[in-house]
Amino acid sequence: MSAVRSFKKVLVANRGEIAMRILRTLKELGLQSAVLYHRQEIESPALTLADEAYEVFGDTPVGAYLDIPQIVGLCKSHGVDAVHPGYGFLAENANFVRALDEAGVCFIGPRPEVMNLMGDKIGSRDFVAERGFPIAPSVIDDGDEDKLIAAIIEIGFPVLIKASAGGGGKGMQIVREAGGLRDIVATAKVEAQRYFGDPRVYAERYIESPRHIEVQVLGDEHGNCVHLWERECSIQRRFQKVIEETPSPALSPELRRDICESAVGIAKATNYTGAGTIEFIFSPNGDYYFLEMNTRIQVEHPITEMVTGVDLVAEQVRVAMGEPLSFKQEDIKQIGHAIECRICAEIPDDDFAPSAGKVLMLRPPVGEGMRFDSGSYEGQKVGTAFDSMIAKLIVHADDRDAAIARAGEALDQLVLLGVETNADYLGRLLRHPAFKSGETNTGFIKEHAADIGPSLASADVQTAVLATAALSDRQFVAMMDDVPYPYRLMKEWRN
Amino acid sequence: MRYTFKIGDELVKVAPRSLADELVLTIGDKDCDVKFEHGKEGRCQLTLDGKSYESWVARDGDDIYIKMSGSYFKVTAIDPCAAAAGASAGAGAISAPMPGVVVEVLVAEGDSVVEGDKLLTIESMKLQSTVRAACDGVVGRIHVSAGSEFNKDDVLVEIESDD
Repeated sequence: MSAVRSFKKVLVANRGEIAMRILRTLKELGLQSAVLYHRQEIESPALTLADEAYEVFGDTPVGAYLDIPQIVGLCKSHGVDAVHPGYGFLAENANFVRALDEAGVCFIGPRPEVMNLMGDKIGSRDFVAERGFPIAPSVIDDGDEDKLIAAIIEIGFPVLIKASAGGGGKGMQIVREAGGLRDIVATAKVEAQRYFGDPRVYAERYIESPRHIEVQVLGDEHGNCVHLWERECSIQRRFQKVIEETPSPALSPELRRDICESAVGIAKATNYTGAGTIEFIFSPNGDYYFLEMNTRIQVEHPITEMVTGVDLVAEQVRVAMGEPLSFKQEDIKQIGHAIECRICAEIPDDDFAPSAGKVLMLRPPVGEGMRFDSGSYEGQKVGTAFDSMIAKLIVHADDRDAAIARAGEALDQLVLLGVETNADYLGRLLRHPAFKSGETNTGFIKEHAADIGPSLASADVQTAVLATAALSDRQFVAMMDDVPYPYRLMKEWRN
Repeated sequence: MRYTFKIGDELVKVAPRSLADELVLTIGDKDCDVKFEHGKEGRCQLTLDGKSYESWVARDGDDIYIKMSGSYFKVTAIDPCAAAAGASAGAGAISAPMPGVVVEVLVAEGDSVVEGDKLLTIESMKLQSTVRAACDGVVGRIHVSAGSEFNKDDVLVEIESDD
């Protein structure tokens, strides 16, 4: 292919599982690679996978990864000529892209103007609506609070209020009645300012029991833009995705084509380059509305890779080099079914409170149609410094039932000890009859909370667990040794 | 001699009862015939009253992490001596409901507060919440400052009760 630019050394300005995943592709492409690390992560396997690793410093570990001058400086001093931002951190920061531009370093992602346009909830909605794509009834905050509140009441309840500049679940809430609305708006503005440096909020009609359906798109500098089908990410807690799958069980072939073509239309209208995701809310009656665009690689991108066979990170790199897409829309087939489960350090039975600890044992599942993307390692301390996601377990099979079964097998195979995780909980979600029949919506976890609550171990298993624990406890075994009876079975403990 | 293990919210006593060739453990109020083998790399094989249970086990101090029959368990060995010393934090000690980061400290040591007053803004799981005084009193030691990270159950602020 006709690369306009060639890269000598690519820096992954990220950490954890996504850094590992990008580094693997860079290796396959035969490119020199580098990765960032904070001193807390000196033992991270990403450091061994990359050809080079640069320490970043900051008041907090997250702060270090957000330090634009420092990271650009590292690029200059180490001869880095391209940066892959991964997701999170600086992945959607146009100032970072501009700073790299000035330093003559290529950002692997869209241009800053497109990032700014689509990264702004208000601007992107206006842009999409003006071009005739569907958006939900909404109101935009122009600073006049009285006007905003009147407009929210006019939209009607329930209404969703969120930070204009935000993403993820930060500062997002559903309001069901006018009472207390003024206080809620005031708090939302404070949070929006704090998280995103922009106090504007916006509100839109909240659709009950919607599905979250998003479409992967890929564009190049030559005007080509394709979709790589949809992903359904309805299983969420605290507005954050837990299980994602493709294809969506909700879409008929006609609706699928329709929603995917809308996504390509939106991406084309922005002259989008690189990998991006257009998110929609999908109502139970089959209507869908543009939600937002993520101008980066997504956490859940592997399920798209599993069904299409396309390495999305490799495509991002090729597009950044100026190559045209190597395939046409009709070449991209959606084959089989893929599911991703996010393994997080959290306690689902305690309202998903984050857990902390040390990874004492990690045995990834291995088998046909199984993929395990993780940056974790035995001995890793899991705390509040970074995101709670430890790993992504991805499976692929011929159809949805087989994929659900395979995900269950993979969870059974996985051993992750030392930190409480949602691994058991994910298994319970997958086994739930409503999930199995594809009746998912973004309220699934709340709606079925009673059914997917903790499954109590049988009395036999609990006794076996206690026996195992006691005989694995050094003090207990030492105490037995002190008792003057011959515990011949315990010989192997005395070392 | 007996040992106590915590599983979930339950405390269960486990004691060895000796036999010459076979190990018998009293678990709760049940006597069980037990054979136990440590395999490679943390894999364990237990035979309990003739039934086999395979598990993966890892220990960190008193905490024993087990995966058995497709489920995860955390069992904590309760050291009888440490348990007695545990209840030292005062009634007015406000501890963290979950791990997180302090966003803002809203009171100073020596401030008078009434029940429900805001003490701290904390952030966990990307969500902010307010820590409030659980009783009337005077703010004693503040163990954190803005930006401090804390773990679940860490004492954040102490309130010296008026009572």
